[in-house]
Amino acid sequence: MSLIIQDSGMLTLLQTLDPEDSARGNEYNGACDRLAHQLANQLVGNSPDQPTIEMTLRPGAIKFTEPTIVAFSGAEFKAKSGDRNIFINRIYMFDRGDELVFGESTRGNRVYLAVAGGIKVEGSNILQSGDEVIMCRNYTAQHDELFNMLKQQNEVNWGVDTYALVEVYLSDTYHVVRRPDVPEEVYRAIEANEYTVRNEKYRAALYLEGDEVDMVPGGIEHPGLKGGVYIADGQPVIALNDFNDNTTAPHAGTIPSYHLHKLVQKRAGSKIRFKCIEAEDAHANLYAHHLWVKSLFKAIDYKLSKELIKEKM
Amino acid sequence: MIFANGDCYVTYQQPEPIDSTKRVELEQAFEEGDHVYLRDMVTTEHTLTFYYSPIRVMEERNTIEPGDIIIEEVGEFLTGMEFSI
Repeated sequence: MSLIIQDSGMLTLLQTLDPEDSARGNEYNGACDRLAHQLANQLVGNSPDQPTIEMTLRPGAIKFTEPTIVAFSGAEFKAKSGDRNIFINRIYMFDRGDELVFGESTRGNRVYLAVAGGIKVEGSNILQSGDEVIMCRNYTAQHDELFNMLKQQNEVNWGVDTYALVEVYLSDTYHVVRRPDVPEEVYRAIEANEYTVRNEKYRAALYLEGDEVDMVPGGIEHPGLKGGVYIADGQPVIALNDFNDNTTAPHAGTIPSYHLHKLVQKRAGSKIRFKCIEAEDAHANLYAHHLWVKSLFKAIDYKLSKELIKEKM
Repeated sequence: MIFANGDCYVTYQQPEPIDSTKRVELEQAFEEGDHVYLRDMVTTEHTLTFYYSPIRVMEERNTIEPGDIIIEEVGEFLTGMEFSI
């Protein structure tokens, strides 16, 4: 036995880091919040590209059938296992019969749950109540040491603090890389506005509302790119992972990858502002973001190794 | 025109539709061809969009401006497919 999805909540998927070709009925179009996906894996000692369980808006409940090490990252959902409070960005071990139940979120929209040793499903990756998620149990020496350490206390007394992630998640300003053929007035209008997220078509698009943006359709069929900002009926629509392959809606620009983590955590009613930049600036920002992620993951590795050494002594 | 479309894509766009036979040819040539940094290509009636990893280019070429390197690679692919750019 493995993990049982007791309650599938609103939308629960087994998701890969990058899009993968898959059989009909599966939706392996990549994790919306790639940072949270990788961070959860990093905490449990997996490689960052191991599949995770992506839960959106209202996560449900998961039952464990054997000792299992997990961590979840992304939105700040309150969670409980029996009387025990379970926190985001921490490492826990659950035992046979334990149940992890998610409650309300104080911030964000999506949570990613990683399981040490990896997970997979045999059927559709769209998980329903009662479905089983198979544990791959590809345990490394580090996983074995983690199991030994967690036998005593079931959790570690440290985690990644919310403040460490403020830089990535706590801002309502989003960069948009300009296109050379879009008039400057369009960018001025976009920047002057504050938009409200009207709703999300799950994993496909975020619909915003604010003052109208006047952008004339040019009769061009554009690709539907993740982060693409398209103007439909005068309002911006931002493409997410499952957006159409193409669209004839005018394309104003594309949000760089380093701002997509916080974008996919926006809920209906959230505020969004845009800052239009050139691709060169986006690349400089991306590199700074890349270095920050590397240092965060190194810090997790260091802390984990230190704990494991302390345990041995 | 060819332009950086966000931080991970470069797009070639033309006002006239690309012939559907030409699109199939382009897709086949891209799939069968060897590329240095281009990972994937998606086509629409008027565009060809190429996906790449900017971090890989930055680290391998010791630059924080990978755009020109990718635009050059896209240009070479398109010229090879008899596009005038």
